[in-house]
Amino acid sequence: MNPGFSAQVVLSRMQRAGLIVALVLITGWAVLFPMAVLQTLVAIVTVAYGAAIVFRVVLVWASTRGEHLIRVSDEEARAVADHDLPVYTVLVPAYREPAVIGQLMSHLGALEYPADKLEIILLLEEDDRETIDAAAAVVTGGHVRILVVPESQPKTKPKACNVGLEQATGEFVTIYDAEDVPDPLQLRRAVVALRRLGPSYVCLQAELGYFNVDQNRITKWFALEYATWFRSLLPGLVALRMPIPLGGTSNHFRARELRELGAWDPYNVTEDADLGIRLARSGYRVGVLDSVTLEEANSDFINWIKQRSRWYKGYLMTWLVHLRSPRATVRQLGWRGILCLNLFVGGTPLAALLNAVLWATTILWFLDRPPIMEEIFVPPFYYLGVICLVFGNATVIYLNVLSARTMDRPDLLGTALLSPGYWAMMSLAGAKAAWQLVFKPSYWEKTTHGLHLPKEAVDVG
Amino acid sequence: MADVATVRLKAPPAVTVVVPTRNEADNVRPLVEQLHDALGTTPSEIVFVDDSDDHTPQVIRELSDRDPDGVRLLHRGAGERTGGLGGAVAAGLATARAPWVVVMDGDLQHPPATVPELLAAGQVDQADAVVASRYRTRGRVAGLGGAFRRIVSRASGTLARIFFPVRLRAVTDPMSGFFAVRRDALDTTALRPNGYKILLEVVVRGRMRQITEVPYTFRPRQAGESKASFREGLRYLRHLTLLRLGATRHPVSPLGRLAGFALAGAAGTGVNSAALWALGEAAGLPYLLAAFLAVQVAIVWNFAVIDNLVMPPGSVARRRRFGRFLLLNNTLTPIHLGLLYALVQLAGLHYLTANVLAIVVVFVLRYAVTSNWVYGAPAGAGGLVVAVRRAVATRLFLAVALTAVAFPALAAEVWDSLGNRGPGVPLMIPVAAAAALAASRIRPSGSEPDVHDRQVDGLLATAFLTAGTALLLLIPGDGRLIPAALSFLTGAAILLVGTRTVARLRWALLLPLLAVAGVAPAVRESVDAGIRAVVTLLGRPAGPASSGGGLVTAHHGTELLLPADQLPGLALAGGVACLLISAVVLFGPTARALRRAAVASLALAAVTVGAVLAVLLTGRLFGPAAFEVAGLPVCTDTVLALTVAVVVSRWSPAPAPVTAVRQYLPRGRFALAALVAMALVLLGSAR
Repeated sequence: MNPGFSAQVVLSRMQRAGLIVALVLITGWAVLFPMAVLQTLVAIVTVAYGAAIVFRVVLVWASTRGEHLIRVSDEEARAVADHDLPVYTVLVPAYREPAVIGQLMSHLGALEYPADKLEIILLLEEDDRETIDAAAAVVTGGHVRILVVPESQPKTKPKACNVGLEQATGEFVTIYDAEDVPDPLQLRRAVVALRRLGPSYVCLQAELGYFNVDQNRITKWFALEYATWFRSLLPGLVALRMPIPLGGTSNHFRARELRELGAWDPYNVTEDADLGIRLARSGYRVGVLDSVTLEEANSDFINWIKQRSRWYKGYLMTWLVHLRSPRATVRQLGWRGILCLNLFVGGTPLAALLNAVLWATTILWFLDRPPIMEEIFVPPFYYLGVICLVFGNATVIYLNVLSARTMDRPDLLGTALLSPGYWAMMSLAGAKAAWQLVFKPSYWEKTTHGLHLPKEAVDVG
Repeated sequence: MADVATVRLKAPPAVTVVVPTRNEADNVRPLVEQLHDALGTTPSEIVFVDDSDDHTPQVIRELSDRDPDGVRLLHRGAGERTGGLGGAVAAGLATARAPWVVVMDGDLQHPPATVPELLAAGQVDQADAVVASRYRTRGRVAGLGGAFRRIVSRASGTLARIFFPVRLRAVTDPMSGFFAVRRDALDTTALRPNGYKILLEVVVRGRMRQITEVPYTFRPRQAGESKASFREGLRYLRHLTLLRLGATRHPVSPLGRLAGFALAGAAGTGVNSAALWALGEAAGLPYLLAAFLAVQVAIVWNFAVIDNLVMPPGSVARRRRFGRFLLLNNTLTPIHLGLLYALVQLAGLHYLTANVLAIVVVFVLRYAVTSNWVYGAPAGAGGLVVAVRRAVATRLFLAVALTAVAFPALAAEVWDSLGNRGPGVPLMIPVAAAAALAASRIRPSGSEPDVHDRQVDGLLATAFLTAGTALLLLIPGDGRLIPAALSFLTGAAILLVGTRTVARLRWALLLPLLAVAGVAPAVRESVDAGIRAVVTLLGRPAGPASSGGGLVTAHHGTELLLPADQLPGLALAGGVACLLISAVVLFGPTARALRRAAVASLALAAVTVGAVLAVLLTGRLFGPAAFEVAGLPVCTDTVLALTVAVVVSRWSPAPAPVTAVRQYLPRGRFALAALVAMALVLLGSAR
């Protein structure tokens, strides 16, 4: 792939120079006119924040106007004769997950796809003997292959996927995580949908859901968030013809175009979101497929923070990578794409981070009313801030309540109303992401899976 | 059939059943049959320890001839029956070969069908011992004849639990003669059986940690005669006392050793003063010389106490131990004085406060060096210091201590509340409840994920420390001191023990908030009125009337008044709130929790009334000076705090067992240095 698109270096030389110059200018200015700088900063933050909220509302509104999920009924999916089906490659990267390999085999075995047209490649790391042994014990040959990825840096999921893609023989390629439970008809649906949509569509993102929604409050919040993401925000992006940041699993590609595009960036910790933007820059379109893959929702606070901080760090990386040559980006993505890149890809982690600052400011104001704050918030932006505080928060909570409706889970109403607790967790993850972006950009924060299982079966991976 | 038998003989026994018998000839055969039925294919051996004078040994010998590895006889003749029933069991335990040993009576009152349940419970709970209990819900005391015997049995069990509240916490039936123990956890040489119940002996002398119970129903006697008697009861009481004394000597737990060390030191201070008086006043030596000699006397005394009662004899010879102890303690005095000087001159503390600090530091130093150098056993004592340093409790204590340093105003407030009732709940009570609540949760349960992240710790701690500091410095106010201190404490604890441990202890950390927010002043009035009403209703020693809301008593005609604002109403209300919250935390929001909280609250109210009566009675009997002292809030509050702590710790489940995997503890050096610096800055800014 084009090294200009790689997150191996977070900031290009130009970006670094620009950042230093900007920082020097701002510092100098701040020393001379501290109040003006603070006022400007607050104004910019307030406007950006308001814009991000408006953008979300617009997305949800757009998603409700018309049908933007690609639906393939069970009959249509089964109607394709076996000999008409293309060879399909399923990549399953796994690292330190020996306990879930057995389950994985049964879930993949449930896929309704002829075995002679299905190629399953387990991507295991060379130093992970346990999982290799566990896999060797259950893989009986046939259409399932174990591919041991040779030891080399960076040791990330996208690197493994790239190795797997080189060996893949399928016309279509998809990725599942080891603990995923995909809809058995998903591959057939993807084939039918991609054939129906024509060559401009290179990728379909299937909807992700959770099988352990009711484990605790965190998994409930997480499920609501995913429902918002896949049923409102992504369809909204589709409706507005904007680029779609892909989710980590269950994205179905045409293999040839994916290879031409350079596949995944092994240095980006959310390679999928980055790939979504790159697809859009190449003029391809991405659809959202109405077929659910169930995943394990992260049920533990610290584990959740780790996972979320990796996502936020990846989004920030992706944002910075695609801002390297702004003119090319604008030309390729158009104004809609730029809006999405800034407000959605860059905006999500930044909003999480800013949320903490703004809430702290609000609390400080109510506790102490320091007079300096009256000076910092100049009137028009002050009123905008108040609107964000009152209507913005209400809107976001309302969107969560709406998701409880679309999930048909009225019992999640309380969880939806308690969302501010989830925002606090997001802020923490945002801070961690920002810290790591500066000090450990390529570090892959591994999430522990199997926390929904009884203790004996838990593996740490 | 013969083939099956040989196969069984080859397998080493998985369980040894020890059965003490005395004149039980009719019971032996059915017992063996029922045991074989119950155990099925589990390879087992049955050891009969027989103290009989009838033909019981012949019956057993017949069985043993048929199955020499499955049934063994240990006959003790008329002269060899040391230790009675307990001695018989101890002898049987010593010959047991299987990893698990079950002890049961030979009179068929212990159903053999319960044996597999005992073994299963031992495996599942990873226990050292499993007790078959008559008093667990499912168990029934059908076999004990007569209400009197039942009461005696229950009372002797309760007595044992009073003697060993911690070790027998999970045991409802310490008098049970029916139990299983893990062979490795058993130290047969330490047993000194005396009397009829060996279980206590095994648990206490074996210093067992993990004990569980299985319910069973005591069956009616099949044949033979019962042996429990009043004389046995008296012997039992004596035995219990000896056991308690023996178990208190040379404590195993680091905390127990530390406490013993501190007690010995406190007693040594008394000896020092007495010697100084004797040498200075009575013998008339110059006071410096007298002081020096008195210190030496105290050191000798301390060594005698510590060496005999507290520390385990290490690898060093006694003579050398004494030499090292003497040298160490004489070196520490100059260090103590130097530290005192530095704290007063450089840190600007008052010399009394500085002396307390210096005593603490020197004590810790003395303890560490004594256990390492004087009792320098390669594994025991050296590991002890490491264990203390690596203990979560130590880190939590450090967090609390740093909070006290950073918030001198709070410390002063607590100090004031000891002598005068302030506007809030005395902090002592929620803190006691919090400590009791934290004690059972200090180790993670098995289901807790072992996922930790230092960056999360750092970020959360920063948020909490910033919030605490901001509350303290930017937004001063009376009600904000405790939230600020708690915020600081939370941040410090997160840095020192990690987010997950703090999350596990969250309720304990939140309880002190009660002191500021939990109990409204209106409550105080009504609770005070209630206490007043009950105390006056009870009459003497309280005077017949109360004037201005206070309580009056008289001593030789002088009227003594406990003013209305010194009544412990708010302390009681705070204690009840603590009990309620703790019950809900421990049992969930259930009716059971409410019931327990209600019962405990009534007990606490009774304790409060009792304390007030005791204050008045003190005044009546000993006069105004004693009344002054007894009337100080610290006396009543301490009693209430202790009651609350005892109740909460009785409710708490036994802490999770110590596992081979060491509990996660973050590296804390830099964190500790940063926290100390921060606390000192806050201390400085408070001046």
